[in-house]
Amino acid sequence: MSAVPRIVGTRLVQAVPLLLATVIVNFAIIHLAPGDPVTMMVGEGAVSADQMEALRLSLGLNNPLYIQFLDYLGSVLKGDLGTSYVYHQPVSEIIASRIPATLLLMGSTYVLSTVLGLAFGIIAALRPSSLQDRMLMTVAILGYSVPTFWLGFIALMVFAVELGWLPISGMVDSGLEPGSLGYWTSVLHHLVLPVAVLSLFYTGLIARLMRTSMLNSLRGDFIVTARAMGLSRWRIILRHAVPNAITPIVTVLGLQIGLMLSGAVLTETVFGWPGLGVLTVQAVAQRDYPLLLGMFLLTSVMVIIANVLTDLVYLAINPRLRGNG
Amino acid sequence: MNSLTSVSAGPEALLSVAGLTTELRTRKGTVHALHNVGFTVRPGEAIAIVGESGCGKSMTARSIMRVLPRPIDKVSGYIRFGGTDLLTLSDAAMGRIRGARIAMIFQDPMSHLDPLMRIGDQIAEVVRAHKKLAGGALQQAVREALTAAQIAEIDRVMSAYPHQLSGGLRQRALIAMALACEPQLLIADEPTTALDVTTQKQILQLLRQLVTERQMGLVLITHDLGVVANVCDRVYVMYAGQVIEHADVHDFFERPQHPYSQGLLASLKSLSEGNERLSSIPGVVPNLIAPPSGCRFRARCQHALDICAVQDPTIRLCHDNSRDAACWLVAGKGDGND
Ligand SMILES: Nc1ncnc2c1ncn2[C@@H]1O[C@H](COP(=O)(O)OP(=O)(O)O)[C@@H](O)[C@H]1O
Ligand code: SF4
Ligand SMILES: [Mg+2]
Repeated sequence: MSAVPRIVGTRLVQAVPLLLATVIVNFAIIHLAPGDPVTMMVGEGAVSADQMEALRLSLGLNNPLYIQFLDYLGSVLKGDLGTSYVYHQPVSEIIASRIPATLLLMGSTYVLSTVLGLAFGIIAALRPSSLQDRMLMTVAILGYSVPTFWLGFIALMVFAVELGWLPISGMVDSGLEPGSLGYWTSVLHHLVLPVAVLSLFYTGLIARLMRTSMLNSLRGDFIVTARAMGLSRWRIILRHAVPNAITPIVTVLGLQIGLMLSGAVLTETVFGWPGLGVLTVQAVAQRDYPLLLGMFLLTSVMVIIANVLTDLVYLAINPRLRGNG
Repeated sequence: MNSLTSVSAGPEALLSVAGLTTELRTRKGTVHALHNVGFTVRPGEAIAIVGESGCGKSMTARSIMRVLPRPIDKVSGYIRFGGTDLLTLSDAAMGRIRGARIAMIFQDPMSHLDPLMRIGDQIAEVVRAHKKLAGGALQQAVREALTAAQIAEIDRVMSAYPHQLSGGLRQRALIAMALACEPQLLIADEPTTALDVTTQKQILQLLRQLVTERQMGLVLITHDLGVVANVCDRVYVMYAGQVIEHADVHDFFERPQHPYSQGLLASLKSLSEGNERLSSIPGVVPNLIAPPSGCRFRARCQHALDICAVQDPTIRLCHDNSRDAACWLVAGKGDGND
């Protein structure tokens, strides 16, 4: 299966321009941003003009622009994304510390909504225009057309504030020993509402896609063959119709991974989930450029990783791409 | 009705169809796809169903297999196979016949094979659906099926996906699938239309050989009369959802009786004589949502009589093994001109 390294290689080569573009845009933003980076770093009037000049020199800010760019590129490649204006910590460390929370939220949402979305799409397509189809698709359309933050607030009001069944905000109750059973139970408890609200959106989206794709697949000539050869209904559905329906939407499913970071922004804000989304909102509000640029870069990297993963899955399930070998 | 009572499905008939009427539900209305279709196939016999595209050939095949493309308003008539009327069977019982005792192959083998599954697995799946075989015995059955379809590179074909094979090999793979359970009847719906001339000849030769060697019945559906002469024993001509003439191959090519058949043969002749202009019958097949009254061929017929507008000539067509044509110009049933 020599196609695998080739395709992954191609993807990675294609990723270089995207990453480079992100770095260039980042660099441009640093230099076009209102305000002087040194002032931003140390605060207005905190140090003397001489000290400012010394700092400027030590940061290389008096060098020609292209030298500054190469320096910046070099440090990005080393994983050094600069220091946050607000937290006064390396950006890479701040981002790394928030990744697990977002990964947990987005990962659970992704798995849940993919499984449910595919299942609902299949069930709806098996009896088009039936009651089950209409009901599922109504919920699906509502799911992805109702604004997530609005739904989030309603869900919070009902289940957290009024009924008191679920926590209002955060990821875990304080005072629990990390790693203990109680800690994880609390995390699960906090996870329910944001995952449910966010999953409704993605499940609706995937269910609609899968229904269309499944209807197409069921119309395929190979389904006629399978019927004419006397295969059972369930065998035809599960072994032939479903795989052929999933193949064309794998790309879209993969794209969702890359886009999930933007979904995280609203949900995390509504539910006070301490992940990358909240971090991004804060970085914008506080004009924390290094942190914000770090997030840009992370988003690009996520998109690239999602693309490579998508290609690998696509390759695994679609023999037509593996060439004639 | 004459066409129903005059059926003489001799005890030797493998399949006998009579009065087969299929109506499909569409958004624009009911499509009267088949009306009173009848024919018989004996073991070791190949019949041809010919006619222009849209005449109901595929619909006939799919009505017999009970794999119709959309919701049906009606399927009636009589499809006798192995002592039972297939139309009265439960879905489960019909499922045991499909692929095992009656198999079907199609025009476009690429789209009719699952692109995501290896050929060997697709054949094994059919075998397993009908026989309790596993492991080595299952593999053996798959190999035998591929051998029966005269495939030389069995190992390569078994592990190949459809897109990795040539058109001819794909059709052979589909034939292997159909032969895997040694059916008594094979329905081939335009099996060579998508293939080049050389491959076409080989596949037709293979089908004829299977008929002779296995005493299998073959229904060969085609719009290409050129294919019929070398492979089939008898010919049924369909027009607008009806059988309008049947005869043995020799009689049919020598003395076609129905003006439509004569038109088909004339266009075949002009084609083989290398005429630039394809002499086809002027006009088109009528819309089957509202089929014309009387003779359905009337609008294209140069000999139409008054009666043709009011009386459907197919009502007096006999469906036994002699020859007959549903045309008011043709004298009494079964006796033709001979
Ligand atoms: N899926 C379908 N839905 C509605 N009508 C159909 C469908 N398939 C075939 N028909 C109609 O049934 C008639 C017979 O078609 P078909 O059996 O496919 O013709 P043939 O195989 O002789 O070319 C045609 O009038 C066609 O319009
Ligand atoms: S029945 Fe009449 S219209 Fe029909 S083919 Fe014969 S002569 Fe022509
Ligand atoms: Mg057809």
